[in-house]
Amino acid sequence: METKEAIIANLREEHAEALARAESDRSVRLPVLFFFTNGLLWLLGSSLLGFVASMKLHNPDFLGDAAWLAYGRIHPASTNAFLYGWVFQAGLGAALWIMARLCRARLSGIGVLLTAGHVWNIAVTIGVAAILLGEGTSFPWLDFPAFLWPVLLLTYAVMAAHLLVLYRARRSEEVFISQYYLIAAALWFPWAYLTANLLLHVFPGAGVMSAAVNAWYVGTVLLLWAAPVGLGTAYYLIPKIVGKSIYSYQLALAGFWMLAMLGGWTGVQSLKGGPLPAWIPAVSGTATIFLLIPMIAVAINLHRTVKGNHHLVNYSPTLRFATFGAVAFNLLIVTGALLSLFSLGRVTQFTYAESAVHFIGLYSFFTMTLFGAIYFIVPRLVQCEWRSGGWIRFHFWFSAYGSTAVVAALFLAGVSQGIDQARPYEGFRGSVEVSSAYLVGRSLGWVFIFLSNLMFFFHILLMVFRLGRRSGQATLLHEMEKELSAHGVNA
Amino acid sequence: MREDQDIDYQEGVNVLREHAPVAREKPEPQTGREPLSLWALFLCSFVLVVGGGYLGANHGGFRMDQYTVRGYQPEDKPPDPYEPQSAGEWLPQWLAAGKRVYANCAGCHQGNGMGVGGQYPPLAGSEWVVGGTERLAMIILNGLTGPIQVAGSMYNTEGMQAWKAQLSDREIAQVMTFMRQSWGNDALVSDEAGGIVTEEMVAYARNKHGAKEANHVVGDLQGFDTPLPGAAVDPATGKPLPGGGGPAAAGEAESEGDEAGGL
Amino acid sequence: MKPHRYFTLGLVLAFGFPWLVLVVGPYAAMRSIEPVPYGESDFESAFAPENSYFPPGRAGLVAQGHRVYAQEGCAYCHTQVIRPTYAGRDRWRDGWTGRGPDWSGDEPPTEVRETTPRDYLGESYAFLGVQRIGPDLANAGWRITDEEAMHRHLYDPRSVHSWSVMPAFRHLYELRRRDGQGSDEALQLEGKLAPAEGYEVVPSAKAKALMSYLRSLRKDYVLPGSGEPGSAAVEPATSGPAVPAEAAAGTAVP
Repeated sequence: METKEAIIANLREEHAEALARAESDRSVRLPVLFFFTNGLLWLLGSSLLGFVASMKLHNPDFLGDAAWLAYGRIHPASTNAFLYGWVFQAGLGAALWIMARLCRARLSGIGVLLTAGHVWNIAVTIGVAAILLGEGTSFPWLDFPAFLWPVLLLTYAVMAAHLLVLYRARRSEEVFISQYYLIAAALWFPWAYLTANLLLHVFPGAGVMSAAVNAWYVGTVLLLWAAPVGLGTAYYLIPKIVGKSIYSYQLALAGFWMLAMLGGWTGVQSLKGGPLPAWIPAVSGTATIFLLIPMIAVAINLHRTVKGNHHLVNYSPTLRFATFGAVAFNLLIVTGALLSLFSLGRVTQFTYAESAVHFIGLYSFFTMTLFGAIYFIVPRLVQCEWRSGGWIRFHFWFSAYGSTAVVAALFLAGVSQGIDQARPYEGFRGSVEVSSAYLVGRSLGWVFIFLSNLMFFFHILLMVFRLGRRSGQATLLHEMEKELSAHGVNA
Repeated sequence: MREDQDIDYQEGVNVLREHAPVAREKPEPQTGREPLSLWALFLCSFVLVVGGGYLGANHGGFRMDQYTVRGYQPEDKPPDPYEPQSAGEWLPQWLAAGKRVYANCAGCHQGNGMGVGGQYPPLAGSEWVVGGTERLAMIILNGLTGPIQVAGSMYNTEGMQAWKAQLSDREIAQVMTFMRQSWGNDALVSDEAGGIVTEEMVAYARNKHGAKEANHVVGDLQGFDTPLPGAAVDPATGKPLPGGGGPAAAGEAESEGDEAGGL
Repeated sequence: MKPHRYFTLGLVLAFGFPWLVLVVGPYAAMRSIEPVPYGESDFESAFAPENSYFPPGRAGLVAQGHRVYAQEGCAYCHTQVIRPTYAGRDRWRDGWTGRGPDWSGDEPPTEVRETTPRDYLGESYAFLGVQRIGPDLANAGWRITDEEAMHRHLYDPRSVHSWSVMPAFRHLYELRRRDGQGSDEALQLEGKLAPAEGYEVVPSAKAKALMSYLRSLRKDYVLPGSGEPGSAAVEPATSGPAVPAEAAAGTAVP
């Protein structure tokens, strides 16, 4: 039986906790909302460009033959806009909020951060416009003209520095797994970006090695930025929603260090069999296969954490999106490992199947997890709740269907293309025609994705203008029964 | 919202507090207890074996000057299904390929080449098929509209489509050879090429007639009851016969077929 | 050491090790690859002129064309890799081959060897490619014998292959008034594509540079000391003894 003093002390402590949380939220409100809304605009724009690019592959005269609409320009424009416009901004926004919460710190230097954010957006706009106007470099995921990378690197460094400042300001020595992931991502990305750009633009070398460094960069963005930020976010959100602690903390740490040790080796397996020293793509492929181990660790951990509370996926938008993302992470690693094998590579290498893997990583895993984070974070910044659970359901299902359609279409197109190209005596026409039908499916998937995100953008705009629901109860996907709602869902 | 109305979203779990004890502690003393279930360990060992095997097979000695796996010998080229597998078999293969192309035509002209009375002309015994190859090639390349008399009967369908965009020179040559050798047409054909139509001949026809925008009408075909120029080939090998022969030598014919898509 | 110092050290080592071993080290090591001279035994097989190198120097507007290839995003649909047979069947792909070691001059070529790093000497970035939405171009230089036809292909791919999904690079060509007989370089366009009376379509400087680059793409020169049978893999005397490859800019295509 607790004494009165103990009860009061407990209440005071919890109230202090709540106040501290609110203070952290208030301090990061402006930059986080800035990154989320700008990021979503880029997501919309890049989905539109992605849709046009997809149409161009089965309907080449779609929208005419203007130079800027040619596939060779509009595809890199869409990819880079998606990556630098949406992925990095959303990731930084979520990272700032989670770090502020976990460190119980208040963010300072908001002005500098916002300026950097504006500069980042302007730079990305210039870069995308440059690609469309024919000044792109054709380096996959590094297509911006050479003068832009120092700007992007510097602004990123400024933004990530705020994460580090928060980390240093933390009140306690205890570090949560999400903090590990987020700090790691903040550190690794600029290192990889600087390396890739220096070697590709400033220090010429053998042409094939430049291509290898480029492929390595793609791998690092996926596994040393998108994966840590996505996993760090999931590791924060999922225990929060279900109200339990992570199943095995040692396992989480082990998974983190394994990803850390393996992620930097991957990427070059997409050039296996190419004109490189054979060990380089072989080592990349091996690391990609070994990544199954941290994937198993993460999967066990998250699954056991949610175990017994799976029904909450029906109610909590955050949990639903984050669970989708976590499952997609498994798919990313498995498909990545499978595509490294030479036996499958004979059919899948240099086909659409490889872009399917990138899409899973960037959209099905990262983007869906970040959607979950946004649904969790924004109400806490704008002091009102999402307007409609129905709209959230629309967003989820159209995104889920759209992304699944794109992934399935790309895999099927890739395999059929690869099988046809493996017949040495057939004309090239066969592989173009056989994949065409699947590409139509992909375009349809993009339409779904665009529509779902249009709805989401409208929804978040309402929130930003404080037009959400005034309520202390979270907006859920469905009405909760009385017995369940007694436990409350953090949503 | 006023400052003192901070909404606490009833977040019951303070994740840091839950895990603080674990994060704070020194490493556990070894007790030998596995935190992982056994099946997960098996799975991880399997992954290690597969990954290690992959590296072992493909590392190429970890040398900077080894660009393939060690001991790599290129495989033999797989046999070309379009080339005769043994000597003396070129023509049967050519006809077989032509039969495959004919599947495009059988929808209207029927598998037995008899067509459909009043609608689609027959090809068996048709003077257009067994006569000059130039006009036959023109019909296939550019299609045909309007009335046409075949083997004594009039046919006036909506028209036959142009095939020049769908079929390569090689395929058209194959199907023309097939038609001229099937359904008893071989007895009716008499030309220096022995009823065989080569890719070179069709290339000539495409060059000369392929630019036409609209379908032909039967009037266009007047005066083209002539053989397409091209070297006569040996039915066993498909190579031009030594000593020349065949209709007048071809002009600047393209040899790259549409289908091969060389670039 | 405080725990977070261990953490930072761990992060740095975990990334730094592959950074050094997989990226920076090999990149630095490969900077020094250079053309290799053909040896006496190669001369004797009568395919490599004396004092020639593998790979031979690339003539033409290679660097400018390389830039145009990048700007138009060609590398997103076309690869330039021939893989060994355990990785794929590129060696024998009908239409991707060039004048490989088997070539005797009067038959279509049958196969090419897999690509090696030296095949890309002279390019600052080797456009190995990501996908084969279009055919591989590693040996395109051998296959482009008619420049005008190739320009027509770039101008309107669907007039050459009706099933093609390649973009029409109209912006690389200029429509201009015909001057008397018309330019040598004018594209022979027919039907709907033909320009109005008195006008002609000619390749712009960018198109010419791109063509020059494409015609320089040859990656099945015989490897020195490989003991390959005699072949005409190296261009005959018109190019003279080759010099060590540098990024060639300058002279027009011979």
